[in-house]
Amino acid sequence: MSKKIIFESSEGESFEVDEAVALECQTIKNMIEDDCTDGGIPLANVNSATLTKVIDYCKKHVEAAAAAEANAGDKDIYGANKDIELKTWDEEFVKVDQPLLFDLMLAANFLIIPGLLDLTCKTMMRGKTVLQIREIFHIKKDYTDAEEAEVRKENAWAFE
Amino acid sequence: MKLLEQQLSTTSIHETQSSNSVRNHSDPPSGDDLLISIFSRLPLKSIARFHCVSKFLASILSRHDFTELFLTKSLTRPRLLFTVKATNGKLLFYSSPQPHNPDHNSCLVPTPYHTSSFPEYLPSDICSTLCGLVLLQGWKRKVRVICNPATGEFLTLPKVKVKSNPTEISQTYLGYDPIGKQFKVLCVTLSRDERPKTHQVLTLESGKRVWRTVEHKFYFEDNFTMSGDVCIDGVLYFGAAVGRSSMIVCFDVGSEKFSFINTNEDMRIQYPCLSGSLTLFNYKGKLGIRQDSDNMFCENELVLWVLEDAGNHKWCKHSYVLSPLGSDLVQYNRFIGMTSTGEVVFSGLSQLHEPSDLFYLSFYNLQSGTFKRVYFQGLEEFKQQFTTPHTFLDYVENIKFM
Repeated sequence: MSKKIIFESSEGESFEVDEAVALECQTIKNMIEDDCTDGGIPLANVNSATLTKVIDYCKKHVEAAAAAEANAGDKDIYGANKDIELKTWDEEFVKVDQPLLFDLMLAANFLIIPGLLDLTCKTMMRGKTVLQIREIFHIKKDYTDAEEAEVRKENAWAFE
Repeated sequence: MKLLEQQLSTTSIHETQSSNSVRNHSDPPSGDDLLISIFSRLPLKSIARFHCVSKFLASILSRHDFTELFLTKSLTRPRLLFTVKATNGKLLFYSSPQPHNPDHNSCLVPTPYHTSSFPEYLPSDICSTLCGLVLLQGWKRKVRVICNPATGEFLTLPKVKVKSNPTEISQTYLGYDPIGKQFKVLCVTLSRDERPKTHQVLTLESGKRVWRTVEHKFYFEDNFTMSGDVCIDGVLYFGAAVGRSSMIVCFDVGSEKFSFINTNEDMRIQYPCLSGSLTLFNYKGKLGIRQDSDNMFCENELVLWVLEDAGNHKWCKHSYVLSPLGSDLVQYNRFIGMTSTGEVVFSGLSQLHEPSDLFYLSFYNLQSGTFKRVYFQGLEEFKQQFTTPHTFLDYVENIKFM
């Protein structure tokens, strides 16, 4: 039986996962290598809803990698299809509301899961307007109207 | 930034694990670090747009650590760059993602870079790209321009001052020193007598840019049978001739020192009247030379030389026997180079597409020996007779200039 790792969410809820799944997170991988995961890993800045999703993501990607390896011999025939399947799964996975997406992104950044960080960043920023970026990141507009018009003019091509 | 601060000020793994001695995990990200991490994953266009969000964000997006990270990410998503001369004489830049091992023939539509800021006249007889920058020079007008199509920035290089005749400027080359993180332009001057030569170097940095002379004790001449220049790991390579033999000049961009590599005897071109019979290219991080067939009417093998040991002038010859179809293709198409993933690329025009010819690239897979064609739409309207777009492989978008 594979070794289990226990995560504890910010609400104090415990989540038991296979070590292979936990290894998807670079931060946790380092801790496992340092042998300091006994008694569970408290993740004080990841809530239960987010952690559930993160674990789902890691599980799916571990399974996909294992399947790809098992089919390595047939890669030319099935490799491409598997890629498409995982991509579709990823696209479905990030169809969540904005706050959860933001939490997922922070968790991916904190736990260092490059694939999930890429996925959430791109999803969150896709087609966003300047106004939406200010809202999402709570960035105050510090340009005067004239200054903003000038910067917009300089970067006009990016708004086409 | 309230939300970010709130999210990020929560306890980190360090604090909760105080009883364990944990290795030095990187510090919890500050709001800026997180923004840098997020924005570095976005396409160029989004970044330009988000400069308009606030001065604060614009300053982060212009910071050195951000532009460095963006370049690192760009290197993992190589692109194709095309330069096209429009009918009004203006030079246009297009780009598309670089197909990786295309498994069937396909079609792509490159997007134009917005280079309206560029001067009306840009020389385009000789172009080379390196790390997102393009060096443009012409045969007739001695104007040399460095531009960054991705950001629309450009710089006309100061005039090279040469002592009176018989010295003349041969060509300029763009080099990059990855350790000093500096771009330098090398201007090779030739003189008709055998005195020690001086060449000139210009560092692309802010402030005053001046040509400095660098001396070297070797003598070399132009080599009309060799074309192309390549910069790999801080060393710039280009072809030269000493007497009747061809050699490779190596210029170490960081130390500004010259050295030479002899070519292999078997690389000798029988009919040197046909220029460009040896073409330098980047063979997956090594210096490569593509040798044209001596037989003008039949090119049934593809010959690539790879530099194995510069110190001992050791080259390795790779020959690939071509099918009759591949042989035709290689003979009538232009050799572009090799992608970082090892496919040899040729460009050509297909006449099967009425009303105008369609530009394509052929990707030759050395393992399987197969050619796959990728067509590019949207470039043909600028097509002038006898010209095809210039193609550059492994182009990286770089948002810092110099």
